[in-house]
Amino acid sequence: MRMNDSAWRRGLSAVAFLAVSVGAWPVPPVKAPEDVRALERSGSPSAQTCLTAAVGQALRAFDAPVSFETHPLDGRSTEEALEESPFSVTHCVKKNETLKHCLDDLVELSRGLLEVQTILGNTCIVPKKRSPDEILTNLDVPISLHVEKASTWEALKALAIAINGVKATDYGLYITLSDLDAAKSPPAAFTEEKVITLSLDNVPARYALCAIMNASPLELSYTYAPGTTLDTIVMAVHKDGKRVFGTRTFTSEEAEWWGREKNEVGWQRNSRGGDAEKDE
Amino acid sequence: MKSVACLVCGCLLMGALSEDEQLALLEKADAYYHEVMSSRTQPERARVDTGIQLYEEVLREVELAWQIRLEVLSNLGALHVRTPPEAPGDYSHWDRACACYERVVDEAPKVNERVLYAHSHLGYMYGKTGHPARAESHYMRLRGLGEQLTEEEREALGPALAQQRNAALTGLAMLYEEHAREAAAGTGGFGVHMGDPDVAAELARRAKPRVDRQLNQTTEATFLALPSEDESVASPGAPLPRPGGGTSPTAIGPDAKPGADTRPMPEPAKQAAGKTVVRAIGLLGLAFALLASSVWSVWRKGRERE
Repeated sequence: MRMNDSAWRRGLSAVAFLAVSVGAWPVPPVKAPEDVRALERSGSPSAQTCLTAAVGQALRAFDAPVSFETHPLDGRSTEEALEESPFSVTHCVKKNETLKHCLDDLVELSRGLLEVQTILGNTCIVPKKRSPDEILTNLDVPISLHVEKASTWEALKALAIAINGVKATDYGLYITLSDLDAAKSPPAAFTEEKVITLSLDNVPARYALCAIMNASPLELSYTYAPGTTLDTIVMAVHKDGKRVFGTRTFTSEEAEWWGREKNEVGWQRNSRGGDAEKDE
Repeated sequence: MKSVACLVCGCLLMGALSEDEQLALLEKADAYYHEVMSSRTQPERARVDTGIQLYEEVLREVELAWQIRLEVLSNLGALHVRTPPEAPGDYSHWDRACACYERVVDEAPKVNERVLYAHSHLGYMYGKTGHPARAESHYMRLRGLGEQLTEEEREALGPALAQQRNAALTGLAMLYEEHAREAAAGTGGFGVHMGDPDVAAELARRAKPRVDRQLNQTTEATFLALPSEDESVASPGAPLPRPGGGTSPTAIGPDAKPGADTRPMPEPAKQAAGKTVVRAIGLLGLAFALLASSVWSVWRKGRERE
């Protein structure tokens, strides 16, 4: 893992200086999808929506960290195709419905585009591959990842750099934390607790991401929409399954630090990231 | 294999309910609940009974998240409250409602809003159905939640906690006022929390306007009964005692003449209006009698001619 140490020190001290509002908490055992129930009805049984929106809306009804990747076709199909099934669907979550029931419904609605996998205990909705060796997205590429006593962000940054080294598509990969771009603060544990030690060789990037999520002191999930303008993995933090959001806005120092960190990931070194190349 | 008969359409569902059937049953029960609760008039008894039966079936047959189970029990309690009574003064439906709210309190693994409201409802209903000691206990449990919960739990409950704790304080004070004799006697352990500083302060706060009112009334009465300082001590300009007792008519102001206010007091407007109406009725009656007699004489003369 290569990184600019002085930048790290400045960044971390900036984050430490303005202590963030959400602290670390013990990660509870992940509940099985059969044991998680929707407490409220969500969505309308008559309104049509795109598959991605339907999945996103359905997952918000459950207090559980479920990760979700869209199928590359979902972002690249023609407009005519997007108006038809499986890209356009009708789905709602009923009160008391189990997460498993809901995931089964969504997979059925996707008509073979999506499937549910449990990777190292993490429930993930992923694009269904036609063969095990098929590389559909950047999370299918095999990578090696070695980190020692790294924070969650350091490990994720290392993962993004590793993927960008052997990326499957023209787009670079960019990992961020939900709400960070809206200038909300991350939990302190995201950058300060250096507890992740991993040594993985030639594993799918998705597996490495789930390994980081397991080793993190935070309860995490990710959302990944490949094929869009920015190939972005958005990490979300949960507490007792429920999604939590930062409550304090970044200071200018922190925002500057975060901007530098994003550049170091290398996401701009792609066909659309000309600015970074010019800077270099 | 157990059989479950749907109470609404009568269909017989064999075996345990599938998840889809469970969801449908819960939705159906919720629909009856919302219909009954949104009714502005007294709901039809059959609709309430069906809602109750459906919720009871849900509790038996549907696996529920604990939060939803508490919601169903609360809704069931509310339906019992809305059940039309068997006879005037019959509170058996309240007893059944109390049993539901007691289950909410007992079965809750964590304190949520449903638990707060259940304590509140139980306090009120037990107070009204002659169980003040039970009512007091629920109000006090609600009051005590503030100290028992962690900061995080308090945050999760939000403003509802403070609102319900304040409501419990008011409820307790009302309970002690309504059952003052039992509270003073300590019957059945009731009234033990009257000395609680918050409760005592609330009781004093509630009593203050009443005491003030009584004090004002007493002062006013005393003031009217006692002679004024002017009356008790002879002072310049004060009316002189009459030989026969009493005082001479009061003369006030530089231009006032003695006896100026001895004219008869004007009649109250209502009394005067009443008299006018009586007079008008009398005159009308007289006119009618004259008219009737003239008509009668004309008619009689006509008959005589024939």
